[in-house]
Parts: sequence; C-alpha cells; structure tokens
Amino acid sequence: MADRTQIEADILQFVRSRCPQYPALGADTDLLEEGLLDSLLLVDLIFQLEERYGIKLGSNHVSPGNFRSVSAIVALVMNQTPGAAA
Amino acid sequence: MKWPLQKQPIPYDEIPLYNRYYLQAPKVSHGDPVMVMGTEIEADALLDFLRERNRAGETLLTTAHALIRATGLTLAQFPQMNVRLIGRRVYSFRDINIRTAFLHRRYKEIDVMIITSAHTKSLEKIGQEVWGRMLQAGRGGMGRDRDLKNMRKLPSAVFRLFMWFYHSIDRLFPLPALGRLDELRSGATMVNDLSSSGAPPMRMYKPSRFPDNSDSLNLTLGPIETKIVQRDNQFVPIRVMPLFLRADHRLTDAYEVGRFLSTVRELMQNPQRLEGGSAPV
Repeated sequence: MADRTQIEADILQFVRSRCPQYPALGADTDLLEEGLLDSLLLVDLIFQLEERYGIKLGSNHVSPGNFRSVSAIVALVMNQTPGAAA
Repeated sequence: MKWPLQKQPIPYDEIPLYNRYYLQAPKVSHGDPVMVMGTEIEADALLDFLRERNRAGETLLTTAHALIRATGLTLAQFPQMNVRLIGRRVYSFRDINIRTAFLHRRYKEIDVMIITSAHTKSLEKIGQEVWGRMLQAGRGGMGRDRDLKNMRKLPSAVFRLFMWFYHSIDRLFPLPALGRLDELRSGATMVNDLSSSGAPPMRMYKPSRFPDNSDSLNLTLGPIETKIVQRDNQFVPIRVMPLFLRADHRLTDAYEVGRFLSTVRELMQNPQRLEGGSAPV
C-alpha cells in the first residue's frame, strides 16, 4: 500500500491530466468551488482509486466532504484502507 | 411485471382538435409533430444553492439532479404531459418516472437510467440513485449491464429483427415493463444534462426521439455561460444555462409546452423550491 505522499501525488497527477486548463491545481484546491469536478471526472476518479488501491466506494461515499480537494480524496482512500501508512 | 400505463386511454373527445390533425394524419402527409422550444435559465441562484448544499451535504449534488427534481415536480403539475401514444390513442402514465442519460464508463457510450417517482424524492435521494447507478454501470456487474453486453453481441440482422418486433408490439399494445431492458418504457420524459465541461456554448439543440413511442418529452440542459445584462441601470455579469424541450404535437401544443418549460425554468431559478421530498435511506 502506498503512503499518503504517494497517494496524493498519484491523485494530483490524475486530476491534473483531466484539468489541463487549471495548471495551478494543488492538493488543497477546492475542486467543487472551482468547478473542476464534473460527473464524468468524478466517476473516472472513483474507478481509478478502486483499481489502484483495491478499495470499493459506493454512492454513499460520493459526498462533497470526500471529494472537495485532493487532500480530502487522499483521506478517503486512507480511511478505506485500514493498513495504509500515514 | 409492472404496467406503466393507466388501463384506459384518454377519451378521444378530450383530445384537442388541433392535436387530432397530427394524431390522425396519414403517413403520406409527412406531417412532423415534433416541437422544440428553447429558453435560458438565469443560473446564479441555482449554482449558489448547489454550492451551499455541497458545503455540508452528504451527497454531491449537480445541475442534473436539480433538473430531474424540477422536471418531476413540473410533471406533477402537468399530468396531461405525462402521456404516450399507443397506435393513435393517448395513454397516461401511472407514475412520474424520469429517464436520464449518462456516460457508461465501462463501455464509453451513452446509457439511460430511470428515476422512479421523481417528484417524491429529495435532491439527495435523486443524487444517490444517480451516482449509485453510474458506479454500478462502471463495474458492469448488474443484470442490466449483462443484458446490454449480450445486446452488443447480436449480429446486425438479428438486432434489426429484434428492434422491429419490439417496436411493433410496443407501438400497438399497452405492454407491461418486464425487466431491465424495457424498464425505460415506464417513463415518458428524458432529462439530459449536457452542461459538463468541454461542451460548446449551445444556441440550438433538437433532442432526438427514441424510436419507441414512450419517449414523449425531452429536456436538455446546456453548459453555463456568462452574459452581461442590465440591472438597476448597471451592466452586470450573470451565469446562464440554455434549456431545450422537445415535445410531440400529437400529445400537446405549443401553449402547454411553453407553460411546462416556464415552470421548469422557474423551479431551476428558484432552487429553494426544489427542497423537500423523501430523503435518502
């Protein structure tokens, strides 16, 4: 299991690749306020997380708190993987 | 087995004469009953409302969820629009069920889901159902996804024969909805959110009509744009979204279409009126 730094780097890379119009994207950028997270990106992101980290997310996880920023997404991944290194 | 329609058609003498011209027109007339009306939603209030709800809510809400809810509430006000044709008879639907299109992540193509009793469900409930179905589709493990996979394997001639048979009986008889592939027939209205990033500014759009006759209305929302308007003697920027409605003159008329579209628009512009309905379980 990757550590927090690696997970954050992976997610940042994925989101940046899908939002090239927003080069300043950082771990704490508010993806909702900036209008970066549409339904297509969100669903792709969820499956990316599932495939890469072996977790399973349901509709109950699709909350603003879990997907507001890359940092929040990292926290979601860490919460879903009890053995994850902090 | 569910029967989506009322048992009896709407009595013929209740159908307006002008609609009957289209309803009874022979094929050779090439009459076109399709009507499309477009308007613009002032979206600032809606987007602020969604932003506020997404600050503290349990379910991520989008303009698509708002449009599904607004359409459900509007259909409850205009039950005469929640109808379909069978042959040359008009039948009312028993419930307010709404179809909505989404990108099937596994197959990278459009699929459709149905939100039943949309007028009774809260925005959060609608949101959870939509996200849930999109995730199910991405995993491809549900019965409907297996059925779609099998449909893709059908050779062209068999597919065409299947469609011919299905559309022939659907056109002539008030059929029950039997299962996963034909459950869409239990809703007359398609809601389509094309406002995702990357969509071009939309000036005109004519939603297509699915070949079966259960697809009576289509509402399509376009992307957000900024527009300069004059307010209190000042020029100010506002955000707007185009909204298009496709209807059928055999079932309704332009006056009703206008009232229907105005009601959806008012609800979207006053999103606090979208509150209520049953909450997520």
